[in-house]
Amino acid sequence: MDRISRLGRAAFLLMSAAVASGPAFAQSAGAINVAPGLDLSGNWAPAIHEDFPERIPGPELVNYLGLPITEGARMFAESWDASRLTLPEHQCQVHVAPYIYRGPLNLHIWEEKDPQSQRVIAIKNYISTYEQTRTIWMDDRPHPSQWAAHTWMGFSTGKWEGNMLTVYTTHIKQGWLRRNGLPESDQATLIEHFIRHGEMLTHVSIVTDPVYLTEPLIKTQNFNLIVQEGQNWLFPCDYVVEVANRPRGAVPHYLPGANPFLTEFADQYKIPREAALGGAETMYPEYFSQSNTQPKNKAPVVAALTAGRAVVAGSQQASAEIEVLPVQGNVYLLAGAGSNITLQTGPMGVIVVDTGLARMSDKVLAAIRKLSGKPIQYLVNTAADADHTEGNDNIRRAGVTITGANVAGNLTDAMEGAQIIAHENVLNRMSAPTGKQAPTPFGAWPTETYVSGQKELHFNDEPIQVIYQRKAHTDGDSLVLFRHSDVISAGDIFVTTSYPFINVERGGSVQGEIDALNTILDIAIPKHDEEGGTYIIPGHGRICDEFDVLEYRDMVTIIRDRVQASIKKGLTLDQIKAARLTLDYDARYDAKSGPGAAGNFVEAVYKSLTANK
Amino acid sequence: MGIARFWCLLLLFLPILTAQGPGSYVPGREPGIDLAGNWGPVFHEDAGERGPGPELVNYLGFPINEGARLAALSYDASRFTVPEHQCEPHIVTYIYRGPLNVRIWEERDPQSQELIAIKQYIDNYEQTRTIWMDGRPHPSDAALHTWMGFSTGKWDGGILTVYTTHLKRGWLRRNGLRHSDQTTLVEHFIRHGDHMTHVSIVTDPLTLTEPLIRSQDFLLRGQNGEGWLYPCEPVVEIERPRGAVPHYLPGENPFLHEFADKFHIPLEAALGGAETAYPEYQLKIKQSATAAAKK
Amino acid sequence: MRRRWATVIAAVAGAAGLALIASAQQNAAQQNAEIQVLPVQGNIFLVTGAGGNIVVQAGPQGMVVVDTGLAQMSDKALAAIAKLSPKKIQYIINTHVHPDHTGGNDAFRQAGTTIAGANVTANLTDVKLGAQIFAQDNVLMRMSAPTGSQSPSPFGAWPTETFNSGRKQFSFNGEAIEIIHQPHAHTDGDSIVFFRRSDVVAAGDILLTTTYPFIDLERGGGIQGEIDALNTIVEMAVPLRQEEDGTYIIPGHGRICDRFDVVEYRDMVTIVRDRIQASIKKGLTLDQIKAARPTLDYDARYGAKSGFGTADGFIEATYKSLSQKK
Repeated sequence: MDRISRLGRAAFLLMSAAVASGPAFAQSAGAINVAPGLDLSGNWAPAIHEDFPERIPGPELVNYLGLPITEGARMFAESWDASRLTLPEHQCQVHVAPYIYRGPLNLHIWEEKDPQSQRVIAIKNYISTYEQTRTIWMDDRPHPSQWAAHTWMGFSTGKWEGNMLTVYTTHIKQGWLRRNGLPESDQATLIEHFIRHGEMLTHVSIVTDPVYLTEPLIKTQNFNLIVQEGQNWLFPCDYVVEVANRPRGAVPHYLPGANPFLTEFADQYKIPREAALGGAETMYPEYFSQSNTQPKNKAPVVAALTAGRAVVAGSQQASAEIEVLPVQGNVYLLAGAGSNITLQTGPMGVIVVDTGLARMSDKVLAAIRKLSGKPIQYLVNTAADADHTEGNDNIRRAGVTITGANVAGNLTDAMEGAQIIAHENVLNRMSAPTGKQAPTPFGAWPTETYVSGQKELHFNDEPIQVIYQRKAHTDGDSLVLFRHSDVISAGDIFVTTSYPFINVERGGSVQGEIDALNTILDIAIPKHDEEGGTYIIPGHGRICDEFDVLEYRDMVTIIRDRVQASIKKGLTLDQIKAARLTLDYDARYDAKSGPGAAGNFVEAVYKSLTANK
Repeated sequence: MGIARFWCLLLLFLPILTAQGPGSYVPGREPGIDLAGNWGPVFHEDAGERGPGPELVNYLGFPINEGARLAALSYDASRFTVPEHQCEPHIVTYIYRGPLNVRIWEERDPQSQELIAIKQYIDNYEQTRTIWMDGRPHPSDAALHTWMGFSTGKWDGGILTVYTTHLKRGWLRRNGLRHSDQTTLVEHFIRHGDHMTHVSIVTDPLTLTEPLIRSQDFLLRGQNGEGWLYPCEPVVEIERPRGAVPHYLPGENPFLHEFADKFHIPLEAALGGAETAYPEYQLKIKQSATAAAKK
Repeated sequence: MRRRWATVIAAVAGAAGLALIASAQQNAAQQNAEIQVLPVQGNIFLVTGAGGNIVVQAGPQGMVVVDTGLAQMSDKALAAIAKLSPKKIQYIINTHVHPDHTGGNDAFRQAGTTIAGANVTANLTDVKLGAQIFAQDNVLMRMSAPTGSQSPSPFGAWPTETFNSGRKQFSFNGEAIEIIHQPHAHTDGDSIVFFRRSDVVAAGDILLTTTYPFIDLERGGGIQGEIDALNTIVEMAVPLRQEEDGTYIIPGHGRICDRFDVVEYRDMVTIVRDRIQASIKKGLTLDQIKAARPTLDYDARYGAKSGFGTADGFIEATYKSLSQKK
């Protein structure tokens, strides 16, 4: 061992002694601050001794050996066509934090310290591949709300355990387990240990994914310190159309059973085909000695999340309290009212997109009042669904319409509360002809409707477009685009909590739903490498950016393609349901009941595709 | 007498030509008078045109050229149903013709109390207008044109004279007759007691063969709250193919003779032109009508 | 009698007024002979006087420049633009191929920079030499030539990155930027550029405030595409209130506009097209159509004396465009 490490060790032992005899962080001014841990700063280059073929040239297709994947993950990967990466929105997709250290990369680590106390606030990583800057917060701050946006690097907090930096990461986007289509869901959490010994750094990562892994996946990779300057390479990525003349929204994938490479790897290396298909038991050395392998039909075992966070499913989810999250610009998300509510605030007052359940209205209004004392002038309904419009009457009454002496129209209504903007079909569904009983009270009905194209207004210094999406989840869907804030309020066209609620009786269709998702992708522009930029607020679920909508769009398109292929083969609806065409997504999106449940979704897709146009 | 009067009046306007820069302000010696207050329109003059509106193909009394005439004859009132046209405000050259309430107030430098601008709120179409009184130059040619334009003003004794450029295209008369966006406007605001006369002179070499002069009167109102609102939100009134613009092809305006026939005047009178602006024209028509009757 | 005095006095006052307006604008007029830089809105600036209008988005990351003016004005234009940001030009976008909009490409590109990295593919030598130039594919087609033939413009002026999929999007200085192809508008390579947060559209020569549009039939322009493009701009723009302000639109030549100015231009082009179409239906020849003066009500405002944008040129191009077999 060389001199420097010996000195370091001596110093560390001394410090440990000091630490052991006192509190970890001295709180009083003037005391020597004995911080735990080591300094990991420097430029680290990967030493690709371990798993070299997988990490550099790349894994073979349909080689899932050694990974504890679920049936769903297997189906997802078998359906994955590498041509997916030629889609413009996928081209600049970044390796997620659990994968990115597998390399190739150069890793630059440094610390951010409080200037006065010199306490470490965060340990920062710059990873050259995909130009990712990662922050590991060392100041005990809590992880953000479950509704906050997910990113490639996630949200990380760290602690020193003796010599070892342990990092805990949540809020990661969907990504790879292995670069041949094996997915890691956006519900995964990551624990890492950074262990420095001299000029070598060992990085251990433990991925826990309740959707696609049956048990945690542990990997290690090593790094060597490099002293040469200029190792922080750039990685500009600019997407272009690589394959011309693809139809809008095409998603390359293989129909179930149609993957042409299914047996390639197994046959080449002369191993049983089930071995190539992976699963927890293929990880362990005992697997070698078994001549007959067990059939791979175990039900996926969902590992408990260390964070205790569950996938939120179901359309009528109301929590006890309203949570307010700033999104971007003038726009806020109010979560917990039964469905997501979007607010835009400013000097002119407030616009409210969707109003949640009626019983939450008091709390919603209280939350709005905390953000702005100015009048609520407009409500916008993205569709007629009860969990989005039940609060209309209450919220409307709390608002005001700025009218004048020359205003035509119903002056009594105009003076009593805010205007409600929606597509005409929303009004049609909420009201009834004179003499009949309307499904909803008069005070909840939209006061201003539009029939085609879009409705525009300019409010709080921002152009706002309410854009009709034909026959999407219903026949009355609108997207709301806040142009300066660069936020889209998508309503139930897009949810992160379940399959889409395509309501065929109310004029919804899978083709319109897919068109609407593609429209969101057209409008959204990411800031850097498919992250940030335009934010999208779903009808239910967390704040998203273009990539999150992209994965959802891919999912809906793939399932539609599968159902369509089955219809072509002449299968009945029951046969289609029995074929479990949504297996690779069920763990993530299947709701217990309601339209977001797999069976109901498949049925809606089937009905859309077989309806006479 | 006439010549003397002419030169007297000319001398009145000479102060226009002398610039009054900052620093020359002396408190208590300010030129001009206070126009502040709420002013309501008096529709003695031209009530028919200003209230209910002008008849179609009535361009009598306007010094228009043939280009402006063709544009007006092509104008289909249905143009107003196109959403982008629905909330078009009246251009400043027209807006005082009414209906409107005008609230006038001053903006002064808080420290020196020098007059920076005279502001107006015109409630029809909620237009706020600024008349800069601090000698600033008009902006570059490349700057935006607006409904109220860019205005600077000067006092000629008791008269406020205002110069306005950077106008959008707008009405000469509300039946399709319009001036171009190269128009400039000179106005005189003349207050006498609680009465105010507003004279406007529209100069547009692209549509007018000579300046168009009009006047309208206002009465001071004591009552507060006369600054009404005028919210306007466009909607689709008629489903149309994308980009459709309602207009009449040349020669196909169905209302060509309507006004002329109704009031028994020759068609070319109804079609306007500088000649029709002058009282002598009445004699000319009478003569030709008599001649025609004799035939 | 009183009327005459009123006329004379008003004429004098009017003349005095005009004289004052003229002198007040004299500074502006002098500036017009040179490069002028006007802030538009958000991060956007308009640079006039270098040929076609140049639109600049400037911010902490550097600059995006839409169109580059005439070649001979490049030095002055670049000097004026350099003051807008401490960093360099990273992207140039061409709205179309005409030389008064692309003449400065080479000079602007060399004055700029591309932030490249070790993993950048494609022509590394070019990438190190200045900014990227984005344009619709047809712009590159028309500026370049196959190997062995003489190209219309020098290599250094050619777009380095083209698209033919309808639109190209990227994010710069904290703002989403969209380049949207307008097929067969005044040429076949027209794009409009939309700066989303600043709420400004750079329209290129699809929109002018100075003359009639120049429909370049030889380069794939068409009257229907031109009208479609104007309607697209009208649909994208949102006024602040009462058809004023809000989204600003910068024409290829002329002043800053808001939606209503585009609406008036759109109305004019549509009406003239409708008239010529009706005449064609009646079987009139081009000469007969010209003699009927279908642009009479707009000539004073939009008729150029010569060159591009004359009434005759516009009528002829519209006639030919409508008579072409689709």
